[in-house]
Amino acid sequence: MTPEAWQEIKNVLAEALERTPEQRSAYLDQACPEPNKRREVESLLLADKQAQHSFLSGPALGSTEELAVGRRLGIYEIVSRIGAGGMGDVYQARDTKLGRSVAIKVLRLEFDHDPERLSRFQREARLLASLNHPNIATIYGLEQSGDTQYLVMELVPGKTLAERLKTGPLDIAEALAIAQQICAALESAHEQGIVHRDLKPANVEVMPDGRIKVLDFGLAKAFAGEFDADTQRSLAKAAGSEAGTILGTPAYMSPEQVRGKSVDKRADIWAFGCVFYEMLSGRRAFDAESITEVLAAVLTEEPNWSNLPQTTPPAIQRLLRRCLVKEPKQRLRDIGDARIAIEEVQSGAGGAGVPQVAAQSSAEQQGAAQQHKTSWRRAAPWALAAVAILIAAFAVYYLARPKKPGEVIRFSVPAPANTSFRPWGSFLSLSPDGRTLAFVIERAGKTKSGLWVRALDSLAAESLPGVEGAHLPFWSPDSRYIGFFTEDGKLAKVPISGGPPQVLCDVHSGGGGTWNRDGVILFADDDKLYRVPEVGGTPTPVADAAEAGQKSFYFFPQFLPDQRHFLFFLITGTTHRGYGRSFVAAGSVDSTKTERLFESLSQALYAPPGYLLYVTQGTLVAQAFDADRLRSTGQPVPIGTGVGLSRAWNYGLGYFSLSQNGVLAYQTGPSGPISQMTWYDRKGETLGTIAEPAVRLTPALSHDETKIAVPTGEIGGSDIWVYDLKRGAESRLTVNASDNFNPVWSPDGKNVMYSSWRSGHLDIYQQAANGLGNAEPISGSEDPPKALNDVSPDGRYAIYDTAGSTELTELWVLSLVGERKLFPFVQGNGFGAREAQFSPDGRYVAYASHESGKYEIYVQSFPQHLGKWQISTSGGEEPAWRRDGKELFYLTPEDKLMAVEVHTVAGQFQAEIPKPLFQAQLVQGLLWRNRYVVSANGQQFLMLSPVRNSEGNPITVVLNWPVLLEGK
Amino acid sequence: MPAASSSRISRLLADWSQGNEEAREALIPVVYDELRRIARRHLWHERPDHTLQSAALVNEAYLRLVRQDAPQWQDRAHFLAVAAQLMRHILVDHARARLTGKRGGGAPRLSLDAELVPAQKQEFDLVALDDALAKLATLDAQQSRLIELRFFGGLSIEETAVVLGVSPATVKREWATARAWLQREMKKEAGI
Repeated sequence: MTPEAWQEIKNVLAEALERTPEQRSAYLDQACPEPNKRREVESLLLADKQAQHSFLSGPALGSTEELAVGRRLGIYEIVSRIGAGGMGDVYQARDTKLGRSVAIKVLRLEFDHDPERLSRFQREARLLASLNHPNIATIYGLEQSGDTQYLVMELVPGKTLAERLKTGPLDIAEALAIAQQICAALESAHEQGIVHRDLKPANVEVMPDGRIKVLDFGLAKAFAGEFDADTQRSLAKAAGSEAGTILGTPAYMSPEQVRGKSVDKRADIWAFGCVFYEMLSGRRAFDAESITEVLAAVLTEEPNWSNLPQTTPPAIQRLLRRCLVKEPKQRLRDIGDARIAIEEVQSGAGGAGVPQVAAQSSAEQQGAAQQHKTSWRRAAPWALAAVAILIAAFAVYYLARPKKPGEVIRFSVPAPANTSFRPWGSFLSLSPDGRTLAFVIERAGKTKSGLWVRALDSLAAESLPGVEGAHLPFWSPDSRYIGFFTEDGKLAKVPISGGPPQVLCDVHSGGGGTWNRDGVILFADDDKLYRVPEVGGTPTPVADAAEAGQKSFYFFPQFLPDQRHFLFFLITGTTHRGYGRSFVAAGSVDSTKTERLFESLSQALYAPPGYLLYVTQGTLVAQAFDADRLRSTGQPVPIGTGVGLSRAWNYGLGYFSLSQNGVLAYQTGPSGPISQMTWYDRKGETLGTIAEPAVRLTPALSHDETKIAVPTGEIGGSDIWVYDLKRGAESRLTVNASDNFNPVWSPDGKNVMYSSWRSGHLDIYQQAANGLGNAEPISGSEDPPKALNDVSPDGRYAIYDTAGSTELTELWVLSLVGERKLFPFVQGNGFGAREAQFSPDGRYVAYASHESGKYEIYVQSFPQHLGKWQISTSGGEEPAWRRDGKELFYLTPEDKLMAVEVHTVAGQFQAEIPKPLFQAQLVQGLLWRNRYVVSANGQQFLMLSPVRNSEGNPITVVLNWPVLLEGK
Repeated sequence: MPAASSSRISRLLADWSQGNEEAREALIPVVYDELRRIARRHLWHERPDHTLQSAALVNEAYLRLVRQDAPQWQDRAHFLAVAAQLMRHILVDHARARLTGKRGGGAPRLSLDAELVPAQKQEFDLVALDDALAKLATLDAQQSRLIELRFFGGLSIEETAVVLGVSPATVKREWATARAWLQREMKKEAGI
């Protein structure tokens, strides 16, 4: 299209847009006779329709166009922003004409294109504005200033009944006083033919003087009436996304609303019954494990009447029953009758007005603390109301067709305010009822992690008090408790309703748990699976990997539906260095026998109606699984991509969890921490960065200091890249996307040696650094696996770490010249050794060893064991030599970079006292080899520095994920 | 922000609103730094929910940079105009960085209507929007600018009208047609 053509089209389009859809065709007949031009305009008209519901519909990116304090809207001056909602933001403002404070709700709807819609809304607002009752928050009017539409409403000080109910039930007198006022408000509105449609505790404002005002009368309809089905869908998405949740609770919806039938004042009577019941009992009349179950309860179940206090007057009990009759025709007919019944009880309870006075004084006490808190601090009441209608329709569909659970709905759960998820993923666990998500948030630094729960139908997550250092949460079958492991080696449980955690037993490290309906907790702990009663006690081994004749480690047991068999993730070899292989396996609490099902990089979890979900190559897949025969069938079907795998154990523990009713939660992210390679001087000053931030492992600097070889990428798929320091360019050396890591340069810089899993076994390879030529295996493919550490300066020996007879690492040497042979260098006897680095003259090897009970740096002569010297004094790992061999560097456990002068005097190795250089900023969670390299002169350090500002993605929750498998 | 700079910014804004384009140039680095600083904080620290509200952000920058006593409305509009342009750079850069940061290179551009996490969707959309806006600029530079002001700067129709020197009615009209064009263009690009 040319600019001229666009001007022409644009003019016709603008004219067409100013007409109603019905008039447009006639206009186009006249304005654009040519078919091409007309098609163009018509496609733009269609696009316009879509644009109204896309993110372009609002002028501001994100959500709101926030008004500056002090800004004027007509005669109103913005005082403060007091809330945000799906339909717009709420501000406290001053009416400069009348000098009073008002609440202003700025509507985000654009009426630009539809004057009819606007006038309809205006009519509705005028009707609502006609409501005038002391117990109804008044709508002063709908106004417009420029292109901004806003509702001006009464500003009500106090707090909502919902907030009040958080602290438990009200006493009967107070409940009666509030109920009486709600009735009065509804009565007045009903007399004018106005139905509230969204009465709930959050819409009842309790003022400091004990009076109440009902908010948002009729707005649900005023808004809902505006939307066609398309808009409702986008609204559902918008509300879901903004609040990070799908919707508010439908617990106050009448059965006829749930069924999507037409609604009259009897719906308000129902809702009043729900609210009144809740005031007296402190519990919702209809409460269940999930939204759909709440809706089902509304349709089919009676409230639990025994929750009402014994002292509830019989007349009130009768009233409640009459309000909560499911069939509208049999329900209490007039809210005025409820008011009269309440007033009779009030007067019979010791004289007119007495309970009310009591209620007022107690309300005053609360009011004093809440003097100026306004009522608008809640999210999107109107949007939620509109969404509720949509969800109701969905729920009816869901309930009617239990085998076809309807739509797949995805939404995200962000990290709680002022926290963030780990960049590469956080452990999460969905309750079996799909209602609550538990996750672990690691606070900055190395302080203890916290356990958070997020009810999926609430707007915020809560941290469980008293739970510190929690890992690997799992749920009780009734979804009321969370089991977890603590950093100090306990298995504990905590009720999500609040209350202190209870220790169940000691563990060594803990690798996940599962809890069956017989009260048995099965948990993984290193090389054993144990069972322990849910009340605590002594754990009994269920499966012992040692009996299988091979060192193995267990993770993530999960009971299958029969409550006896279970799945688990099995790592053979060692957990420490990634030498082993991993499998999904099955066992039974009735037997110590276990069975491997298939090799997998991540755990697999079972979910009804019969699937295993696991992560493969960053994709979460589902595969049909027969839980009776323990056999998977069919092809895996992708469910979600980019699902993070933990690198914490150098094994893929996937960040996903499943409920028993079609809810899935997972977190996407890179399989490891993202780092920026950064040069520092000896004072820790940043000198510069190289290459792009990425998941990087174990860099190596070429001897001429012109190139860095660094493994880059995700678990199971890291390739070695070579970064040219002179040209500033990066190129990929290995291309097989298997785990390739621990590169070492040959002294002449022509070759790079590294370890790789490409053959399914961890071996050492060599490849030309210029990328030409193939990888050549250096070591044989025999056991044990070999993770290359370094090559001697003369090129005659490679030193590698490997799985010893225990799970701990040992250092071995491979001779590269002449007859290839393997011999041990540091062979642990109950301790591990790793991170070996040849001294520049090849006569010593520095390494980290755990022989003292913690990792310290040692230097040992090579190849003969003539002497051994401890270098570090209070912990050390990741040693590196200066090129002249006169200084050695290492990191303390806190990542402080240390420098030690070393000499050889008369053939005797000597080390001075280590001196700290600076606190290094290094990525965590990499346990392979050094996370830094040193320049030849020992003046500069290239470190894998964490990209501080990268944080974990929000958790994705998918409702009805099995639908994704239909037709596959 | 010391008072001296603050009044300097107010002066630059006043100069620019009187037609001095050099004043605008002088404003850019100051505003850019401030926006970047605030955006970074919002993006990565204090707002872990990743919801970016550009208008709120620009407002915050404005309040920080300009003394709050007696802000001139025209000044504000002109400030927002600078900010809008800069916000576009910041947000789109951020979105692009996140796109390229994802491994696998050809990360899919997601469809506008896909039922996906909006935060992600938005990032993908931003890049597409930026591309589409660049294309629109070749057809109609003023419209492209207008979308930038409205979408990235959060300017109201009146404010946009002040900055572009046209009537609010024209802004509405141009906004509507440009929006339709963009919607179609982005859908086309998303391969729907």
